[in-house]
Amino acid sequence: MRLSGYWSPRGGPDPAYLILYSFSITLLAVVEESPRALLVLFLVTGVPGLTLGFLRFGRMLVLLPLTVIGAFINAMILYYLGVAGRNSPVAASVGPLVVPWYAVNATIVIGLRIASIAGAGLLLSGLANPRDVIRSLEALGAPKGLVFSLAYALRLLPLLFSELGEVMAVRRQRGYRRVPVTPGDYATIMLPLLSVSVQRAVWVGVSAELRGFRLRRPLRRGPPRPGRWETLLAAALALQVAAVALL
Amino acid sequence: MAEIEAEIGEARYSTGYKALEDVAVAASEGRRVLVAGPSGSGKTTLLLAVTGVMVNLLGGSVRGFINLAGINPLEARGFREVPRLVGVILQDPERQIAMPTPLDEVLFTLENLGFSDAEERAWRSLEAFGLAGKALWWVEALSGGEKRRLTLAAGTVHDPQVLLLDEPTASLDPWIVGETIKFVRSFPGPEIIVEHKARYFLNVVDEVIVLSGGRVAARFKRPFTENDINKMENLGVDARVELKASEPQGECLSTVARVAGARLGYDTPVLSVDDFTACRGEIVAVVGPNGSGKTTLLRVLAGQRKPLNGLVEVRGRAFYVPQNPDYSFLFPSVEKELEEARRLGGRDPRPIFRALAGSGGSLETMPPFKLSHGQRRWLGIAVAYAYRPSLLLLDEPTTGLDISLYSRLVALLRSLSREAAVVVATHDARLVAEAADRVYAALEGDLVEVGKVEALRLLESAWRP
Repeated sequence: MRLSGYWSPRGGPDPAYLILYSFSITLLAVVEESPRALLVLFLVTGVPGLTLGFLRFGRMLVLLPLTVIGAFINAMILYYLGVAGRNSPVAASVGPLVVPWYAVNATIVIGLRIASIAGAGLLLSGLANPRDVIRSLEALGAPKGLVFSLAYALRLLPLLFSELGEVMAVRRQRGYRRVPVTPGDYATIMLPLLSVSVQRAVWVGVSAELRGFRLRRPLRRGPPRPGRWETLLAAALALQVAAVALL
Repeated sequence: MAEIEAEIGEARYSTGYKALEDVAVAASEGRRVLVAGPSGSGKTTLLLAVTGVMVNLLGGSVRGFINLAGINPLEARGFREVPRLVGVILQDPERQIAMPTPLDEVLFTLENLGFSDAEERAWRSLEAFGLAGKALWWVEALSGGEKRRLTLAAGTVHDPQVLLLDEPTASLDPWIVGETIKFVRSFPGPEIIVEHKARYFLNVVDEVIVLSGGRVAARFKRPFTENDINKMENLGVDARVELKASEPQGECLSTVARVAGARLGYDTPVLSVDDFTACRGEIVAVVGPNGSGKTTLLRVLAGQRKPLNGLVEVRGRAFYVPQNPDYSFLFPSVEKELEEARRLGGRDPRPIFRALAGSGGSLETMPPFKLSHGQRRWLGIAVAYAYRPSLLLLDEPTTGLDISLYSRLVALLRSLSREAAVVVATHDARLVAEAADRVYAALEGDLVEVGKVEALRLLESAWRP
């Protein structure tokens, strides 16, 4: 039995460092245009993040190739509409269909960018418990109202799922269709959920105030001293910053 | 020495509704006052007024004098000090717990108040309340009793000088009620306990104040005589400490439901049922601690869950009314709710609702969620009635009901049992003693039929010191 500490007992880097790392990679991926630099981001962050994500979320990652295909189709439509890549050399042509380098390049850039951002997010969610992430946000200086809302959302989500199950069971019992179709069906689901949630929110607010929420000061608990994991994250980040600067 | 003194001339909500008039309550060090009364009598409002919530958070007004451990919570400056000095336990743990894990919930109080040793205190408190092993579990994974213990831990981890509790035994099994009473007894400062089940606390409080219509209807000082208890009961308070099992009034006219050789649960078995029957003509009670599988049994009978194995037979339609009536309502007004139930169920539930709620139709334009807890329960049962069930399954139907509503519920169940088998999952010893014809107990994973006297002894011995 663990009888001390704030953090969930799991290995891995400190959540505060992970948040900073994920945020930095996301920022680099958004601003960077060079495919070579983005390739570095993808290899260093995207690949491990996506691998971890695949282990945790499995089939959900099918969305990623779909996004890349969507980016390609989008680039082709823009090309054919004459909006972008008008003077781009042709990369390939299949019958009447011409594929310009512009579309290939745009697909690679967007694909690598999305994969790197997704990888950074999946690293964060895969290596840190959500509650630890929220507590770290507060330690990093996020406003207490935001942190409370996120923590309460985390408390509420499983409750809402169980309440949704209750409401669906009541609907079936009372002779309404199992799968909601019309706006009226959705209204009969949302009404009890919202009514209960609003009442609960009022009382949770009263409870929080009676336990001194308005007195809460920012927690002056900085991230702990960097260890092996944090050093690894710092090195990886330095490599990617250098790639963005040099390539 | 910490004290609670409140002399409230008048308290109004922001709507202008006058909820309290001429109510005085006082408790000094080591003294406990119980505030009882029927539903809607102003019990919870009294706590909201005394803590300053009514004025400072809800936009209402309170005229009078309040001294809460030396501060005036009606003033903004005093209200800021309330969290440091006062521990408040609310009625429903689901509406009190704000954080995702027990550790965070307890830390929340301590960090708000700036405790430098928050971490150590939090762990000590969780250990004292038997939650250290589940400190980092998601709150939803805790049982009802564990959630109540968590609210007690989070409400008192900062060592408050005074304690205010709102219906602390609501929805709890008698075993957890026993723990709660022990906790109340161990708190050294003055306490105000709002509770309609006064019977649980008569041995530990010094005074009972009964509210009715927002005013003090009667005061009783310890020791409480038989005459006092009779007067409390007449005022709608559940005060009878000694219960007597009545003779069964129903008889089995035809078997409606049977469960045999079954194991019930979700992924793993929670309850083994060797032989369970429910008949038209009878009220069958199922008792047992929180998490013992009572609700699972009802859901299996309702067809909402499948048994893991074994036989489950139900003749005709089963209708399950959940413990929280709010999930039963799908429409924005009572009228629409009743009309839809009539349309799909085939029978008009309005007479039942009007007879129970005593509204004469005035409540029907209201949203169901604005009704009182007791009225919402009636509405849930009235909806069930419309569907002409042959098996009516009620989960904790008496939670939050005062004596008057309770008596009317028992009469209704008796009347419904003539056309349907009625099965109630309950912690309420009174319901078992006065209404049940047969009783099953879910204990240590097995459902067994027990005599009423034995069931009553089981429930009553669980909470008594």
